Amino acid sequence: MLVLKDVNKTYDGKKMAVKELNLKVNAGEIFGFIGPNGAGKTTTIKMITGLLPPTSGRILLNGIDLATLPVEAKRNFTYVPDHPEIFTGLKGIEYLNFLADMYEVPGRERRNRIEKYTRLFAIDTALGDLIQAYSHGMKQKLLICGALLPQAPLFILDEPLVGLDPLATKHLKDIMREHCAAGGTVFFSSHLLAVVDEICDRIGLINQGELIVCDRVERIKNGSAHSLEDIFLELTKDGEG
Amino acid sequence: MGKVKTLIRIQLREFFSKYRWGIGINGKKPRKGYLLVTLCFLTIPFLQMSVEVYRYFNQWGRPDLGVAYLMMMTFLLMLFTAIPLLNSIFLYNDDYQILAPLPLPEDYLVLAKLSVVWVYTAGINLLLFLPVLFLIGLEKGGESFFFLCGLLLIILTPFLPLFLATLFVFGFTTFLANRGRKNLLSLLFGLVLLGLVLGAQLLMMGENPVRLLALTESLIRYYPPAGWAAQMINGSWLSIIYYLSLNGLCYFGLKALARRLYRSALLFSGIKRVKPKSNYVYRPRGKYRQLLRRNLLIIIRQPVFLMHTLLSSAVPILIFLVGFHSGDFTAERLSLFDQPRRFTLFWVGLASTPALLNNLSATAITREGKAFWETMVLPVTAWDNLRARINTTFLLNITASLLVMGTIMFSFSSQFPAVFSGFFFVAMLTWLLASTDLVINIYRPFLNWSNPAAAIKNNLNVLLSLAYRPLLSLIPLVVFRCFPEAGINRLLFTCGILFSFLTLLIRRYLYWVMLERFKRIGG
Ligand SMILES: Nc1ncnc2c1ncn2[C@@H]1O[C@H](COP(=O)(O)OP(=O)(O)OP(=O)(O)O)[C@@H](O)[C@H]1O
Ligand SMILES: [Mg+2]
Repeated sequence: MLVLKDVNKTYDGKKMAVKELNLKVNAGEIFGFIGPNGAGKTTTIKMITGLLPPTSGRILLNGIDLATLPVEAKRNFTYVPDHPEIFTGLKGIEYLNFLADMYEVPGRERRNRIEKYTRLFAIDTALGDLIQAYSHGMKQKLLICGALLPQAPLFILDEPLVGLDPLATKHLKDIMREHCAAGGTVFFSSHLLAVVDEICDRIGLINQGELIVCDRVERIKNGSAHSLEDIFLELTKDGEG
Repeated sequence: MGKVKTLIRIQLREFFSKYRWGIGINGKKPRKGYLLVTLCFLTIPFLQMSVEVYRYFNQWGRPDLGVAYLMMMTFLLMLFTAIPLLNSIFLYNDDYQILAPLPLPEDYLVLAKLSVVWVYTAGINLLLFLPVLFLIGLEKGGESFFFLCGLLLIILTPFLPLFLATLFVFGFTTFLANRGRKNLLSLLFGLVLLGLVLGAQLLMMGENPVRLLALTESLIRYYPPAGWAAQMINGSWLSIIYYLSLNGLCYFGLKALARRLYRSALLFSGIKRVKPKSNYVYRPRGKYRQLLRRNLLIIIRQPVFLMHTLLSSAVPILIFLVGFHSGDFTAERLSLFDQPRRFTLFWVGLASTPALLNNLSATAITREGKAFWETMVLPVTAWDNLRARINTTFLLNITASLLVMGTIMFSFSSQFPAVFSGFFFVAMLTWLLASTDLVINIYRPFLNWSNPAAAIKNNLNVLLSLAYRPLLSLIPLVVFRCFPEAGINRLLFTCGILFSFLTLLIRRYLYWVMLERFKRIGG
């Protein structure tokens, strides 16, 4: 579903924010992307979504090269950023309709999905308000609803759980699972290792721009009794040393 | 008191650093010398105006009336500057997040913010009054009484307009915000003021000096402080007392209101409620149409952008209406009957001003600010994304031009020469400018603003786009030179075709060269 080949990124020409990243996320799996602050998670995600051009390397979405066929590639995913900075002059409903038009969701399905997801995340009553009047968590939920609306095969989220209440967190986890059960793919970054441990099929651990480990959760733990947290701390300490 | 000082210093620094960043190139801070030169340029018109006023009124032996005239001018000018300033400092500033939790009394915050506006308006005031007072002082031989008067005038004049502007901004915007129509009235008020200022300027230029003298004297009745100022210059202690007490009242009024101002400012900075609606429309629309709509809404739903756009589009209409009603633009004067050519040039010129003044494309990307990423992850081509921005500018400006045409047509109902060729000229010019300005914005995207005023004013993009406009006048000049015998219709068509040819070139350039740069914005 998602393939990164020798992807490099540097912001200033000297320091590598992402180094020689090779990654393959298969259809139908939930992929967790973890690493310390400043490791390069957001940078990687921005490159996958076309917000940042990689310094070198190729990114394929569903076999389509993002650099050569950006529109076709972008049809395959939706994205929820780490900060919900969107144009706040729209009403919630206008924002969702805007996205639905961009992904060409037909009228009837659009209505069903908007009603379903906004009710699930309890923002259905706020849809007539301008986004300006939304709380941080509400904006986050609106972005998630917007990203779910087109039902694109790949769902990319950057730290989606920050700021969500427990119920919304549970719903989001359920949705991720359902999405994968139906053949979709989820790629998300998070610092909540317990959640990552709970729902991910595979995990990529990035530190200082380099992918250190990328494997199934059980294989990383390798039968040892250590928690994911211990392993994380151990691996990232080595990376620094 | 120490706390207040620190607070004021921080507010001042924040405010003026925004200006400095706006002037800077590529987000770097400009050098001191560069800044100084810019400042000098800005002060010249004010100083010049002051000297003009002195010369004018002195010639009739009434320099004191000159001061009264300036008082009235500055009153309008300060209202006009203070209202948008108060709006952006109080109602559209996100520094409450930092300020509100501080252990300070609420009125301190308000007074600190107000003092920024005071410093700004008093600065303008100083420029306007210093030359007049200096020249009058020279004549009077530097009495200490006169010196005192001058000082009082310079320091205190901003108080009354500031007080009224504050009442206005808070009274009406909070009233309207409750109805979800923040800023509508402030907008109307801005338009009225602009008309007044233009009117005052036209009067100054008018050929009838006695009329102005008499007018000033009669207007003093409506604005007594101007009269007091004139009397003060003539040595009246009583006027000083009046003047001081009025300003004292304003000061205490502001202090008494401070707490309420703070409350409403906190409440309304950023928050806007619209009545919830239950039956939404789910009708699908075309992608491109949605992009256009989004770009339009970015202007319409952001009051600072809306106000700026409407004001710049309204200038030509106002100029025309003021001229028309003051009798300066009449059918005979514009040679409507014997020489339609002159009239055609007149209306085509006015109809072109929205495109010339309202360089919306120069900030089409900047206006999106931190939300710029949104359209970049969507499955739309970068070219559509750019085109939508150009066409938004085109739509808005051509609408303004049509309104200008409509106003002129309505006023001179009988004749209207060269409608089609003139409109073709205006439309092609609008299209050209909408495309070229975008090149500037792609070079200098500047997305990290927090104050919307910084995104569209005080911004080098805007200045750059205004700077190259005079060059374009070469095209009509050359065409008119080359075919001195040709009819006006043919000349306008030729220019229009040249403009469209240039536009096509610029669009090729945008497509083949700038598009790659556009895709990298934010990276
Ligand atoms: N706009 C930028 N300009 C320059 N350097 C940047 C920029 N954004 C990120 N970086 C650098 O790139 C590196 C990776 O940053 P990134 O934001 O990808 O980290 P992250 O893994 O998402 O961290 P966090 O967990 O804190 O979100 C960091 O060293 C950071 O300093
Ligand atoms: Mg991050």
